[in-house]
Amino acid sequence: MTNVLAIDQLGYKHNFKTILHDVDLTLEAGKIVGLLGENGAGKTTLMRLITGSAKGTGTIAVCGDTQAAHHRSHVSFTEQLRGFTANTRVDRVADFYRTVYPDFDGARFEELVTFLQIDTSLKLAALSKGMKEKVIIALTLARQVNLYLLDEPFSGIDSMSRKRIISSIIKWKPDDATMVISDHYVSEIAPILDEIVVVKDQTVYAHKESDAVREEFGMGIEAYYESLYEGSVQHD
Amino acid sequence: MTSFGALFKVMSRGRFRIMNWLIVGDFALVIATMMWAFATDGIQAGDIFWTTVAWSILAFILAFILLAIQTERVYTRDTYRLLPLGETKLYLTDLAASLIMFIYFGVIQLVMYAVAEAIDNRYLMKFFGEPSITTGQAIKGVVGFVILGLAFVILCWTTVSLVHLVISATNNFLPNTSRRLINFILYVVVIFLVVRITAFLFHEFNNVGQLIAGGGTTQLLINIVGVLVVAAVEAILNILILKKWVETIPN
Repeated sequence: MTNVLAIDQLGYKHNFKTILHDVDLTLEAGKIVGLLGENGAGKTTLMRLITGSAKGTGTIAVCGDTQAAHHRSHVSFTEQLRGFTANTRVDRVADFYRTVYPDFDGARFEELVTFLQIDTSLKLAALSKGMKEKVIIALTLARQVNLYLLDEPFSGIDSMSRKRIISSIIKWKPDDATMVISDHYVSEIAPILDEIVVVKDQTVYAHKESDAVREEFGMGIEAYYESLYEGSVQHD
Repeated sequence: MTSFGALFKVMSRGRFRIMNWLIVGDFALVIATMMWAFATDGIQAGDIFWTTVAWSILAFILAFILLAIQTERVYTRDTYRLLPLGETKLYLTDLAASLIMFIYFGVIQLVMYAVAEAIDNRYLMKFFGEPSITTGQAIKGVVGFVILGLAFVILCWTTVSLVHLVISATNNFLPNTSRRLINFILYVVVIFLVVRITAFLFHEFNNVGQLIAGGGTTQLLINIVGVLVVAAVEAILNILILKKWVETIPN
């Protein structure tokens, strides 16, 4: 298996406060990885460092490329569409993506729009939180890249929408692409995860295959994750 | 990688719309003012032309500010910073999109001046009487004025960007107290720069006619190049800061 992501000694400080330090992480191609950790653990920061939106120390290689400008052609990230005015319609946002991303698959986007039941004639201001999250997921998954970074795609949305988003992730993830999903609610995504990465104590505290967790500790992903915080399981 | 053409297209689309709204607003204000004048004191010779010019000055200032806001937004928004391209292309395309839209706005304003002058029965020609300079000198004067004006617009935008990017970069790694101090120093520097640049600008524009009439084209060119060189140095600094230190606003 080839590595889609290789992080070496990554560190990040904001206003002299350490957010992440000594992060080493390698992800293989074709996996669905859960990036787990409590609020403020540094999950979003880690994703932002990978995309180059945040500036840290250390080395990040995406598909073997260490330059941030080149990372972005391999990575699709769930950005919150802040570059658009509230009056922008969803189909206009899609036009923007179609124009600027050579890897944007319009037909795939249309399929996602149908599957996620998105009304593309709506303006961004008119979207509910769940609907906006669906639009972001559709835009993110419509790109054909090696690494997808989904930052808390289920926060604040109803269970039906969550299930649809999870289904879309399974259905539209290319076989050779890796998908990193950050969340602090583990139960709903646990069944689809190949690996988990736990961010704790400002670093990658644990990185394990889901099957290995079940075999080694005799517990599910959620129980394992909670036990790390309770201190009943020590990571290696 | 995102091409220059694709990026320019998406960046200029919103700015084009804003400029059009501004043109419509400007035109509506000119019409409203003339209707008001017609209903009260009546319209005198030159009223249409000077009303158009007066509202145009305000519209130009607004166009400059609105385009500066659009330009600056790009640096801290993931929508643009996540695009697969380098910071140099992002910065230069952003600046070019604003400049082209400013030129578009300026051309429409010139058309409005010409229409107003025609409606006003060639008021301006009568006002100034027999010109003391040749047509060639007049054309050179107008071209010099426009190029110098655009050079100053570029310089002002690169200066605004420099301040914005320095503040944005320092906000990421300095503690709050130091941030406030740096911001205060930057504000003082900016106010000083604005005052100096404005004084220089007025001096230069006053001299454009004299430079052309007196055959001082070389001096005018030197001034334009000087302004553009300073803008280029600021642009290089901006790209460097953008690349190394400026982060986007987090989700």
